[in-house]
Amino acid sequence: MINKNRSKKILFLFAILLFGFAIFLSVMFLNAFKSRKTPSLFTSESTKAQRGSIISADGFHIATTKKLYKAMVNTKNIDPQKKELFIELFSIYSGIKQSVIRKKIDSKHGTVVLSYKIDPKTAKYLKSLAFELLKYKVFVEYEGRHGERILQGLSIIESGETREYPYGKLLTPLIGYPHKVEEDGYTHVFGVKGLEKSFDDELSAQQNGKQFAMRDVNNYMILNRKSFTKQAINGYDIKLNIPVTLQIKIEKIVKEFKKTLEANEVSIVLMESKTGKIISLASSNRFYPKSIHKRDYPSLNTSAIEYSFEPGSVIKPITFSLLLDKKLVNPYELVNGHNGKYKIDKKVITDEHKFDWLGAEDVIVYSSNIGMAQLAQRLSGVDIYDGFHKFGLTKSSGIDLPYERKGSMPNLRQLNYSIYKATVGYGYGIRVNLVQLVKAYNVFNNGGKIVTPYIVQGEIDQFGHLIKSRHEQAKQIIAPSTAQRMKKILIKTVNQGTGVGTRTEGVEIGGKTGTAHIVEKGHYVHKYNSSFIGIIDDDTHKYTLGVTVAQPKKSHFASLTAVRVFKAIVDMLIDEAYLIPDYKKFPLPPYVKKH
Amino acid sequence: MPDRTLFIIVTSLISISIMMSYSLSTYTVIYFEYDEFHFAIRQALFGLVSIITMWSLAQLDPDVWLGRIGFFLFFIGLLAMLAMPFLPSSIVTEVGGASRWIKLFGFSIAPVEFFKIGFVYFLAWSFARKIASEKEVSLKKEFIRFLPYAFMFIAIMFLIAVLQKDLGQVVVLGLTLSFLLFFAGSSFKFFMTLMGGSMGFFVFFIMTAEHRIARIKSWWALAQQSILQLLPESIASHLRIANTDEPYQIGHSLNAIHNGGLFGTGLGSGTFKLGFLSEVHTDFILSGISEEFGFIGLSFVTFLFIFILQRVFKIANRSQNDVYFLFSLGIGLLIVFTFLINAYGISGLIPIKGIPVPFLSYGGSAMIAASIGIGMVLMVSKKVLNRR
Repeated sequence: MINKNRSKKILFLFAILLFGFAIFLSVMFLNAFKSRKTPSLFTSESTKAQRGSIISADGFHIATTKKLYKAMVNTKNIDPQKKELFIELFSIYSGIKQSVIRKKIDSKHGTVVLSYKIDPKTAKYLKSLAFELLKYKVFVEYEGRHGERILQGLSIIESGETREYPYGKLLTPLIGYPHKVEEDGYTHVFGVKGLEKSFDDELSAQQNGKQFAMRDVNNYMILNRKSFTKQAINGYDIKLNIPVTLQIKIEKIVKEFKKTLEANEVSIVLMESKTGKIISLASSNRFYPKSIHKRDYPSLNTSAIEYSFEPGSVIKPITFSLLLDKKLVNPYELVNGHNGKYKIDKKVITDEHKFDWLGAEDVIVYSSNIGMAQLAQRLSGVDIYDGFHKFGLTKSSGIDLPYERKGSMPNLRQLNYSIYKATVGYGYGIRVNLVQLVKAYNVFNNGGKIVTPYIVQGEIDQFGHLIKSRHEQAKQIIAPSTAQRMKKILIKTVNQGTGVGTRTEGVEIGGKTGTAHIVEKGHYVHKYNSSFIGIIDDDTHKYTLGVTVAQPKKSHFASLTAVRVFKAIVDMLIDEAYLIPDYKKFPLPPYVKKH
Repeated sequence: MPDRTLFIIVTSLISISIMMSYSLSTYTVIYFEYDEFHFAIRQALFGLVSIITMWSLAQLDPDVWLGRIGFFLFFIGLLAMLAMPFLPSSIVTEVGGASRWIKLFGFSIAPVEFFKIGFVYFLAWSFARKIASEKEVSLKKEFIRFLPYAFMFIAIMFLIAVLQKDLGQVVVLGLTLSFLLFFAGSSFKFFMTLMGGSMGFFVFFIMTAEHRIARIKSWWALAQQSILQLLPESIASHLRIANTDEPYQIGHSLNAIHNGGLFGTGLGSGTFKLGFLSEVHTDFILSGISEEFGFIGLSFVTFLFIFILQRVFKIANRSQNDVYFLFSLGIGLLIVFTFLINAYGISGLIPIKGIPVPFLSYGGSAMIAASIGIGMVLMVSKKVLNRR
């Protein structure tokens, strides 16, 4: 046996060791509870939601948003021995020249922006590079002014979004253009014209994403019950009724006609008669939304709605339909043509083609101002005023575009005067836009019902569901029989009258020309706007097409300008199978000689 | 009947270890692209082997087996450590300039862990024969008597501290040796002389190299935060040196402890285990436990060690045989010193790192070796005088 005091010695040793444990626990206790600057346990990340795209009916993305990222590096964090490695890797990942990167890194001691324009794909690669570089200790900590350890390394941050128009001038000016605005170092775009403007709320990013979670040493997020995620909700995509394949063809046609007719502008509106869907709205004057120059300024407006003009004779069918609907005229009654010269209240009205007597419907077919002036007297001022309003003239067309010019017409009191009835009756002293005219003519091709024209089919939400646009229901404004009769008269106009230039075998076409003097500084000048508004049907399709040629210098007769554009589009529609000709059902009239 | 309580406490610690090796290795398994259970499944296997070994050893007769096993571990461990510098690098894996492991049958074995148990047995056996039998002797004689042990210890120090760069283990062995010597019958005077001498040597050792001084300084810069606030300000102000950086590992160890607070973040919810503390499932497991179970959890684990100490000392105290007494005492000291050195290391009180916590840290060798040690104590516990 070792010594007798063994138990006491052991107890003493135990007490000493216990003291050792106590020191440890008290130090731990102090550490646990006294204040201490610990690194943040959480990290957050925000993702900016994007503006939606504008998509054509056939699925082309006409306007899209691209996110841009910037790459920043704190040069103080780069291990000097690994600087070249960093430059080399960054160059490979980003595609930026090594010399450029080296120059930037050497330019400053601290945070340097290596690039502002990094596309999303490259940004993703660079982010993974940033983590790898941390892992391989290319970045080292350094001490801040207050003794804090700083390790920033390479950071890839969203810097903004840009609006891309992959098809250049296509669909301008209808599509509009955006402006940039910078907010907290992030560049947003918002629409200022066209569809970009009218659907700005829908297109705009709905909700920015945010994620807040615990982190590990490399700032990876740990998604658990303590984390918080707010999904980024991008703006809605909007889908048009307009197919790009058609639009391109039409834009080509109008551009060529602008040249051959030496016109200021050629615009067209093509609408599906039953629904009001605008399947093409084109102008010869277009621009690049990404780079707008001063010379583009006149082209920025969508003339089809933002330009109101005196329509001239294209109004006659509307006046005539009001007479028909009120049974104030019989299409077969005879109207005095006064041999081309007629006087109302000291004002002389003339006709291009002189008539002695002519059938009432031939007032439309041969576009007799004198005939119309007399027939219009049968309507009261209120009849004209309300009638035109019913047809949507001088009222907002309801189209989904901003800044529409509604036009104007004489007031009720004026319309009780014969001269106003006469001039308004054949399209003078009234201002309308092309979309209003197409909407009004469409009534004749839609059984007397008026529909609202619209360009946007609907919005596509984040789940890819199409939410269809909602519109006012079609409204019966004239009797179906009146519409039917008007359609026949318009067809006759094409077959025998001023619209013969549009005659096409196999499809049913009706329409009316119009030429009107332009007023400059209160006087009519020797400049004209020519229009042709018509309906084109085959067995299954029904369209209404409006053409305006602004100030053609070659000729001011609609039959030589707008009619030719109309015909070219009809032929193209047949080629592209938007119209299926049926030669038995819609033959050329017997008096037309076949070539 | 072996001491069941001791067995249960050790088994509990092993169970905690398996659980923590899963929770704390989260970052490591992802970083190295290991399987999610890479560490947990291995630690579970080691734990199972440890518990079975411990229980099996407890069944054996100490009069026959304690010596056999003790010497076996001592010589095999010594042999392995001697052979290590000469073994090819395919067998001896070098990590950070230190060769501590031998690769055998797909496992890495740290011979020093097994050697420690053997060493304690050898000391117990030798002291019981040489020192305990002699009556009072002069300090000089005591010193002469100690010389062979001193030489042996220096040789071991060379093997472990220099070749394996494992200073912590040497400190543990040195402390155990000194205390055993004292309990074997050395005079208090000699014990104090020995301790003083060691301290002197230690100071000399540090002063002779610039980087060691720097390390001590950086240690003190950190340790002063904990130590000085326990002292009155008049003394503390003299000892305070200008603030320098916390060493990275210790800094995050303290962050983890602070983040744990009283109750901890909860199992699996720690943050500083995620790459901040790179060796959280091995050397810094106490920080990891503190983070997830708070001060309460850490205290619980610490009390388990105190409890082990109490049981082992009780067995030692009641042993009739000097070898059994010294051996049990030695094992108890070995475990507690290892624990304390690690504990002081992770809280920045002493500048020693890289020593595993017995039964808790991830790693088979340390756990199995410690379990063999406890198994042998359990073996002895059957022979103790039961007073009740």
